[in-house]
Amino acid sequence: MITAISSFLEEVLRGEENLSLIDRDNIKIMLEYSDNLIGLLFVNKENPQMREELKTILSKTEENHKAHFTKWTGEISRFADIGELVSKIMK
Amino acid sequence: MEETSIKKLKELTNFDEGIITLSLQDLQEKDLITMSGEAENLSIKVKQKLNPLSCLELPSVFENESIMKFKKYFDLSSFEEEFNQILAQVNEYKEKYREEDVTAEDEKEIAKRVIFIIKEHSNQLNQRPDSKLIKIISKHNYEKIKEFQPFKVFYFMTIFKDNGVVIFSQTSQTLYEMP
Repeated sequence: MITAISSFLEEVLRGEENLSLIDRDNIKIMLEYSDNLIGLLFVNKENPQMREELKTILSKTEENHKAHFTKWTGEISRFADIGELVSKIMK
Repeated sequence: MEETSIKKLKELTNFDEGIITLSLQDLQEKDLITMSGEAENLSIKVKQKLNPLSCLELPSVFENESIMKFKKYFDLSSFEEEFNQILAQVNEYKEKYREEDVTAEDEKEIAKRVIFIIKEHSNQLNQRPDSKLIKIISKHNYEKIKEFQPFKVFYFMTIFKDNGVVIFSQTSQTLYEMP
């Protein structure tokens, strides 16, 4: 699974156009973009409401960590608060 | 009202004239009859007909045991109270079995729609499409059937655009169901 995700990430980051959905039959990967981030949600079927939730998570993360993105040292622990935003959709 | 005379009453009752006269005076005092004319030729007029049943000393119909059983239903407040009790029982029953009923109806509806999609798919295949079209049709109908599945989130990930580093990821409890 890690290999699959890695190869797919390369594809996403290399691409010039923003992909919004990757459909692999039994699994869909919903993608949303903000200024600094790409949000991905692995689901069993597409759901417009969940896409809106994904957009909200990204915009709130951008808002909460605006300063961190400009001078980011690579420390990911400071983004742990995203878990709270995600908890609503991850049940 | 009818008119009569002492003579006719004597013939009818065989009572003594004195008794008849006393009875008539009593009835006149009660304003049930009026008497006019001379004593020998007295005319009696009935003002108000007497109800013969009122003279009978019957036990009260309303004290009858059978009537007593039904009496509570004649009382509006009691009836309303009992009616409300029945309504409450119906509501309780509905509340108790609501979930099962809804599920049963939902399942029927889903089954109906799935059958419709399968029939539609069968009809499309009977039109002998080429292999490429079969793949497209099958995928399309497969997605339709998948709509009946509950929505599941398996995995969430956030990537920093500049360097592609995953800054946050989280798996869900349904990850083990991910194909």
